[in-house]
Amino acid sequence: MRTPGGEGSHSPEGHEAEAPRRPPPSMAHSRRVPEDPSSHTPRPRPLVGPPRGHSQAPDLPSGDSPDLAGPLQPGTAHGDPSCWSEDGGPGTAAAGLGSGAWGAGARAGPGGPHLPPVLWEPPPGARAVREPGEPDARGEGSEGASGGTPSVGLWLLQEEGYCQGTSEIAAIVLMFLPEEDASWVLAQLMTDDRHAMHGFFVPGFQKLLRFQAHHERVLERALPDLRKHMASGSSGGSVPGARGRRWGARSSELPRVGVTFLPLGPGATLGAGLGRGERVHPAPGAAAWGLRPPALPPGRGADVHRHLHPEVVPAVLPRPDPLLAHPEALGCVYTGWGAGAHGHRKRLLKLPLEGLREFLQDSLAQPWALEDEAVLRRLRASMTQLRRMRCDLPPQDLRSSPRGPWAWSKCPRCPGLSSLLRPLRHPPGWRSRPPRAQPPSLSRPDPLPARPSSNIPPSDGTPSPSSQCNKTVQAGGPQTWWA
Amino acid sequence: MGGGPGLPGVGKSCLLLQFTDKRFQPVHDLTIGVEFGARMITIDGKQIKLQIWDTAGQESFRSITRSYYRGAAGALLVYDITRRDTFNHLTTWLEDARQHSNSNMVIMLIGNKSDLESRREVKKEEGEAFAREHGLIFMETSAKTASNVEEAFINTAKEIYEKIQEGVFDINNEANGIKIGPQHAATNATHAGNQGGQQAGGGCC
Repeated sequence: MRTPGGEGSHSPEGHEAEAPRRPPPSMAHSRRVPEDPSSHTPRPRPLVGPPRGHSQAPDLPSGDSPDLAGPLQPGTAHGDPSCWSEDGGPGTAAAGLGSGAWGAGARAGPGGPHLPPVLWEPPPGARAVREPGEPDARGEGSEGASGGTPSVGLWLLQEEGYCQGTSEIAAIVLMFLPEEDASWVLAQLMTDDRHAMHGFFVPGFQKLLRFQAHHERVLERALPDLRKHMASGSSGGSVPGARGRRWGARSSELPRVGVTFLPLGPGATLGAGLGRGERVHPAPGAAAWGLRPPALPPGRGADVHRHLHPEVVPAVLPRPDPLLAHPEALGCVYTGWGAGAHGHRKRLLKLPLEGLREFLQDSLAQPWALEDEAVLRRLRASMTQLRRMRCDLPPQDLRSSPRGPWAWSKCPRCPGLSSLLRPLRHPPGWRSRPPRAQPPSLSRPDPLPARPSSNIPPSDGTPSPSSQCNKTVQAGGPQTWWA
Repeated sequence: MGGGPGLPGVGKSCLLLQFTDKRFQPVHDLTIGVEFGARMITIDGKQIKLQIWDTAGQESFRSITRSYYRGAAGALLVYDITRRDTFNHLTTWLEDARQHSNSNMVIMLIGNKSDLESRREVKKEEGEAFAREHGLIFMETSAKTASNVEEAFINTAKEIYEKIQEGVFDINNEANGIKIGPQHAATNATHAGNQGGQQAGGGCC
């Protein structure tokens, strides 16, 4: 067993107290250090959870039950129903995609920090995405249901929740990846401490509030006059603040939707996620202004991230689409109110608040005919400036980590994403997409990287992927496919 | 399928819900950004999974939804027959869709809410004429009674399928929104909504 916790693999419980640490220079290496099995207290296994390896489990529920209630009630399964009963139990699963293919039951979990940990395991036989006709989170849409197993979305997003704001992030990923992979990418963004997107969509807007506070701080230090200008508006506060409150109010009106999360442009949110998580956050500044994908088109986001984090991005997003190129806007988003926004300071100061919004949403999204190089240079300069101001990282006091086995420092890599994130250092014989012939094992959300390990061609011919995986799991020893 | 610019509520999301889940929700939340739906259909003996993107109709989301046209194999452009303004805005949406999408994208014009005959403001003939003029397929649907809903999506998928057969779409290029599944089943992405735009993406089967 291993964790992606990095070199400083800390104990699962200790992560909250840890000092902010710099992300390792290369996630590729540091995050996959096999964990010394002795350093971990064995975690109780949930009753309904499958064994870590898949495709074995004769004694487990076969996973063919169409009844979604089962997997949605882990609390019951663990003899701790309390952790589910707080907001009405699984039956009231908040959102789900209206009729979505993702079928993500937006089970926005309790957001407080003192809740009993919920042990999550994917229901046996669960898949990452819901097939058409399969019941959704509310057990609806089951016309023609084939008695399939629930989607991992139900399980995965119990805590983070799936809401309409999430869909914008999902859309960006889904534009480039097949559903299953996209689902895993989303999962990883939400649970991983590196991408640190956990908290964006939980009730209470933990992360959003943190970003807003940070945005204010950056503004105050870098562009005090602009901040004053914004505060002088009729909204009685800064525009992002007003927007945040407005949407916050909206979300409380719409419990089905969970958290409506607009103030952060999805592109920027995703960008923050794909980046150093906590660090590329000059983004909160401009992002909180509601800059939208055209302002931060996925392709361009990928480009910037490719520059900043070459080890991650090529895998996740393909080449940028020239049609979606809005380099200047991107530069401004990513530089936030650092050097990028300085260029617009005078213009922004003259604009009334409404004009400001239009400027940020529309005008800024137009291409400015700046070379990519110039944008990236500007970005770097802004990052340097923010660092100098000690504003490159938002305050840590509101860090949000998933609970349960997905808590940071013990965040498993899903098989799909492991392969997605590591296209450049794969072992010989590695395939980016597994053969479809082995769907049951491949689509299982087993936290262990079954897919990559199954792709190691042993010297004596084609292995049985599942048996090999199981063997590895049972041995609990270091795995070497990523080395 | 959303409303025209600034005119949401033509019934894009309801059409999608009716198509994927066979139910009608009279009061639907405003779509924010985009939502997704998927359904498996059979055309010509082949299983095709339609991945449908239901985009927001509101003007403020327009810059977002524009980026979702990319990679769509088909689109359903929806207006509300009881609101002439939604019909009048069709041209804008159509231009937008054409400009930001594949030139081969199949576009179907949908006049929704055909059950509200008494409140009709846009004649069927007008819709047909518009469709003819711009080379679209036309249909009147009712998400409430499910009339023509299946047909609208399936005809769009058929049209895409025919284009694939004719070789208009390069199925090896995923940017076209079409993927061939392991059993040689095709997938289509369709965008629903435009006038809103709903977009269906190609799926795989």
